[in-house]
Amino acid sequence: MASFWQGYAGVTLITIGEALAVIVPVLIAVAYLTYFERKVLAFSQLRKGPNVVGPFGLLQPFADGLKLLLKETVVPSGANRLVFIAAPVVTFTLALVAWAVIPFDAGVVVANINVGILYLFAISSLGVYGIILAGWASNSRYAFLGALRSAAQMVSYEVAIGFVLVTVLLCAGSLNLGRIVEAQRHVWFVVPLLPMAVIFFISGLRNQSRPVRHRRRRERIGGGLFCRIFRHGVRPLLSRRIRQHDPDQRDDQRPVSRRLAGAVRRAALHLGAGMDLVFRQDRVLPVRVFVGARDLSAVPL
Amino acid sequence: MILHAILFYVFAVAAVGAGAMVVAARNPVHSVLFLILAFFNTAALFVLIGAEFLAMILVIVYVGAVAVLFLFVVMMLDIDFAELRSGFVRYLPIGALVGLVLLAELVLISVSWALGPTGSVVAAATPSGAVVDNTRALGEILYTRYLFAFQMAGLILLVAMIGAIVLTLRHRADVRRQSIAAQLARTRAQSVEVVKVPLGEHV
Repeated sequence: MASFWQGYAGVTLITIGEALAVIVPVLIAVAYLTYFERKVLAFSQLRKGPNVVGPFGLLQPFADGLKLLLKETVVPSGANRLVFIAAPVVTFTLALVAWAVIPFDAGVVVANINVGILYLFAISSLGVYGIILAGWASNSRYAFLGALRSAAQMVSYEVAIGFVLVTVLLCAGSLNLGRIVEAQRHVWFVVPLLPMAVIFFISGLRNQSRPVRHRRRRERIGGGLFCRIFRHGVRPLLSRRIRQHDPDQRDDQRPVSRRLAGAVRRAALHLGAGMDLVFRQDRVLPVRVFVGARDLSAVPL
Repeated sequence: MILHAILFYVFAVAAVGAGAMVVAARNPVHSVLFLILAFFNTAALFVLIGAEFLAMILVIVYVGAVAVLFLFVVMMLDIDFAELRSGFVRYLPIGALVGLVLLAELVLISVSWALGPTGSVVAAATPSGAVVDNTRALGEILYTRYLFAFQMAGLILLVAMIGAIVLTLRHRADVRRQSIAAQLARTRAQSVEVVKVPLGEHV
């Protein structure tokens, strides 16, 4: 039996299992962070938010997801069919593959690669393709202009993120995320590197267009780069948002999973760190996701 | 090892095929996308020989930055595909010549590699049983033996960047710019005048 698990088939099965063990909780977390965010937004605007499907509307995210997946996919005429469908797939895939190198505990990681931090950076710099291809393939000027705006924004903040990463690398002396975490055994890098952490936080938010959503300010450029994709049903793959006229759905169309990945990346670099090694009984993940959730919700609308 | 070989051929074929499609694709945006595919396969080849740092840098620099610029430019340009194709036969001899030169050089290199004194061992990106990962190894050699070359490369890039900025910088005289200092220095006395307007007259 042991030989089976070391053969090609066994290793493949183990890898798939590991991937599922990461992806499924991530997606569930995405669903409920979405729910959480919508509830908080609703309360801040004296509304009830989702409250119909399931108790307290708890099943709403799944209902939304199901609905979006089952909707008919309409490709606009003149759109570049393959790219139009591929763009959201690219975005969603990138949001998930970034999780492969996130360490959940000492040695608990899907792929413990030496250049983990570079991998994360590479993945996040690829995110721009989903945006720009979606805009271009829609064959609509508004979508294209919106895509150019947000692509320019993403690329520029990517630079700042890269430079902040360099400071962390210098302090940790390694590109391996596990070792970066370990290097913060005594003091979180957020303490000595506080200015950098602030820059990183701001750049991360801007990179993901969180606080100011100028990538799709509707009154100016229609739905922005998403105006076609989201009207025509490919959106389930790209977004949790359904109806553009719903007030709590006016904000950004980024998949939460990607934002969550960004938040966790921040956490792993600057905070998440010492925590799991110092307080071993405290598993890291909840702590990190909490930090991540704070990121998501601290953002003014 | 057989898996390695299979993966190598898969990635190599995909890289070469994507490279061919860069030239052959009718739509320039598709060309850039194929270029990105080629970069990815090359990165995968780097990973196969254990050069993970180079692979990641390839993806970050070329796919994440350079190809994005390509895409921007190609998407913004108004390209006439028929006109683009028209010169194909005319430029074919020059292209073939350049290709031949490159091929000859490649053959020369691989022959001299095989026949040379170190030819008996295939140099791996990381020596077997290496204690340092190749990022550290690369850094240690780059910042000691090749320090000056490295710094010079950086300086040249800096000069190129400044040059690009200087070339595109224009000072236009006919633009009215906002002067914040002047705005802040304004006082009420300079800006507002109270006029007593006689009845039935104008100012």
